Amino acid sequence: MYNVKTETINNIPVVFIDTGKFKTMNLKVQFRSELTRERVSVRYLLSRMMVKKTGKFTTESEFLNHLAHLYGAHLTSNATKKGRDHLVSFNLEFINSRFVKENLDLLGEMTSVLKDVLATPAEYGEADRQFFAREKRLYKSRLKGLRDNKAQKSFENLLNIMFEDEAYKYLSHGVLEDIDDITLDDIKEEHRKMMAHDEAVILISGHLDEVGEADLQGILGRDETVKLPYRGYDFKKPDFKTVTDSESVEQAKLNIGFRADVGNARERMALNVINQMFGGSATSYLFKNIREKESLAYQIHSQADIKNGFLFVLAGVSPDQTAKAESAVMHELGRIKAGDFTDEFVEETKHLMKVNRKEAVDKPKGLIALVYNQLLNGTTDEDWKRSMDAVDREMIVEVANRIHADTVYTLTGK
Amino acid sequence: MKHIEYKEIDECVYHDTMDNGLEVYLIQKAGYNKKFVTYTTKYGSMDNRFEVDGEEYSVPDGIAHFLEHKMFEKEDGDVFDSFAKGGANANAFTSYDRTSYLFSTTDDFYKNLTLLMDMVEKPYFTEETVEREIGIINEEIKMYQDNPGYRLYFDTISQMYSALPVKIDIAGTEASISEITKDHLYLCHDVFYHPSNMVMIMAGDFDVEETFAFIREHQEKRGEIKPLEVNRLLPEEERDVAKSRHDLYMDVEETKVMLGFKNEKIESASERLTRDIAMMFGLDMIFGEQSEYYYQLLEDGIIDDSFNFAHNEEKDFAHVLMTTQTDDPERFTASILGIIEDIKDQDFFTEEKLTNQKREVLGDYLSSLNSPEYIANQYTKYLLDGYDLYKLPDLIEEITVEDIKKYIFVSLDRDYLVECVLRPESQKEAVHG
Repeated sequence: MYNVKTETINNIPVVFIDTGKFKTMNLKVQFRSELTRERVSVRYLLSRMMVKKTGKFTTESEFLNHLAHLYGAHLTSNATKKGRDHLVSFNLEFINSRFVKENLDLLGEMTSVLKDVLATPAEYGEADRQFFAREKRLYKSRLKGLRDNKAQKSFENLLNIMFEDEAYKYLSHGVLEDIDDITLDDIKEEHRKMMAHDEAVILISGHLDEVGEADLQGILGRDETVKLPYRGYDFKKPDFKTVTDSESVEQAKLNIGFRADVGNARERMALNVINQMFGGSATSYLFKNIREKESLAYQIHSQADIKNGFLFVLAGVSPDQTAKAESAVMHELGRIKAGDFTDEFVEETKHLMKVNRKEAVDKPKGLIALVYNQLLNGTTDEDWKRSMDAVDREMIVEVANRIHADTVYTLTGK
Repeated sequence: MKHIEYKEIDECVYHDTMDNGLEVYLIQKAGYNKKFVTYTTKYGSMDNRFEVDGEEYSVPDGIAHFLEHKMFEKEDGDVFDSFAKGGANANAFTSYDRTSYLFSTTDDFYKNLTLLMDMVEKPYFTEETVEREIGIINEEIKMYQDNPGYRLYFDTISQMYSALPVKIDIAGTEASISEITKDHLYLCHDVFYHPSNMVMIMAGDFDVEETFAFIREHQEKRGEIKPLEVNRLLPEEERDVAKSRHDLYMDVEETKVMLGFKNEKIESASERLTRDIAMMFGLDMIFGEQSEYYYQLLEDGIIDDSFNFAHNEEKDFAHVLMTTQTDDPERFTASILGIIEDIKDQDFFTEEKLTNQKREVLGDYLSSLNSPEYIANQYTKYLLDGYDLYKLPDLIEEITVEDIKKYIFVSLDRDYLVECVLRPESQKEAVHG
């Protein structure tokens, strides 16, 4: 129920995703480059500053009032990780002009806002010092607040242990300890690098009947297209570690990280299916057996970063049951490795994953994310379906046996 | 069957009432892959005392939520499994005044719809399964106890209310749920899961006639179900707060504060909705990110971007909550009260601000209508409150500056203010050490 077409405008790839079912349009600019500690916090702070005020709207209230006037257009920035990369995006969501009863060129207004947003940091100067200082303070406060969530904190601790010497441990929102040292010049320099050297893609979704190349001309331009490789980290044989910390918590947080040796798209798809069967759904082994049958946990699930071959189990368990829960988790993975599952379960899991994929494109953001992902991987819907159909019992057992526990981290009560 | 078109927002709704009293609404969303269904009983955590055919009952706290969990378990296994086998994602939630069961899928719609109806309509409880559930829910309660945001919210609510069961955790307590028996569960199911106390809302791309015929046939097969005379016994709640100040200590790094302004409830559904929207506009104008006051608080280091506020308008209660992470909670409270005093003396609420607010809210509203989940859940909420989600744009248009002035100062009355501060445990030791 949507059509995708890609063009290159001013050396920037522009993806048009035409669909009539939404009441809004989304206009997104996606930047991508390798994740490093030196840059991740600066980039995050920069992206937050960029959506607050611009060259044209020099105070935040002025800027927000302008967006409110444009029927509550939402400008957001987002930072994520994908493969080895750090992704920073700017998204404008605004209503389809058919709901506007006045003569207002909403898309024209939006492209001009976005252009302004992308250009502004180059102009940051003395007058922005106070704004910069405040954003740093807010940034620190936000990260400290996140750590007060024990589940989040324990997962961060797991990453720090498991990826001690690897950049993967840095979260997309950066490192608290690095914030103080960031200067306004760092921000401007990172902005310059991002605009010049990041891979940049513009995506627009919605009812695009009357939208053409000319409408998107002004947002961003380059002398030549930047295309960066898209890849995951190489497999590293784990060195098994167990770490336990104590704090005053009612419920212990048990986190386990695994590494899987998956090299191609088909193996990654198998890992995806394994994750669903293991702990990715309400019918998964972890949920059924550890939560429902043995009442060992209220919450337990697994999540996979299939591009990198990482698998994580996150659970909230009774402090006196952590050892039992840990061995139960390992036991359930062992069952998948041993082929102790029915073909019916595999088919159900695959079916539900297909349903979820169809549902994802019912959301504007889900649709854009899926199309962007296909662009990065150079794949199509058909490729996805083919890889999924190819996953069978033998592949699951084979790939499951390439999953190795790396780190068990427990945050338990005092 | 009634068919209502809402041309301005390009939406249409079909409605019918089944012979047994069940209300069914179908919201047609052309082009969507997903079909999303909610099946809701007007029964929530506050319904712990009630009268049936003249006889009074009192049941353990947390039972509505407990019942919700147990509805998924049947003699032949877990219904979650059956939904998954049918390619559907299922879930459920309990709030103060309702319990909703839901699923979404892109195929095998009727199979999953039957599953949902059977699950909700046919209870199956045994001593053993109830016993096991107590363990699971205890873990859920503990998990919430570790969540600073939840603890702060819950303690603030408890400070505001002295009698109304809104102060009781939706999941109950470890003590209260241990008292639950299968007989309690059957009783509550009989009383509150009667079709005339329920509503089904569907959003997606449907064959309308066929879907209604399918539901009608299913409901007719249930035969006649005699409705009970049910009377909810809610205690009277005065506007005075239970406890105006309270400190809470947890193993956190940052201090957090929550303020609650308690209000009177409103009987009339339309007036309730007017106040709800007028308060949303008013609060946004004063404290929202378009307001100079917001930036003043930020610059002064009194709030950070966790600052949040909301007006809560329910049938049985109403209040405003404000929260932030801050180093100086006392200064936060004083500043908020200072701002409220400040705007009393000036012509703060202007047509210009209101017009901009209306445009913004209309845009937000339309983008929300992209989501079948949002539509089904909010349609249910407004319906149960006696209103129509799809008529909101008209109501938004009608709100005036006078409406805002009428409600905002009465709502933000410091005589009905509670203040709850969550501090790091280290501070407690410092005080006592």
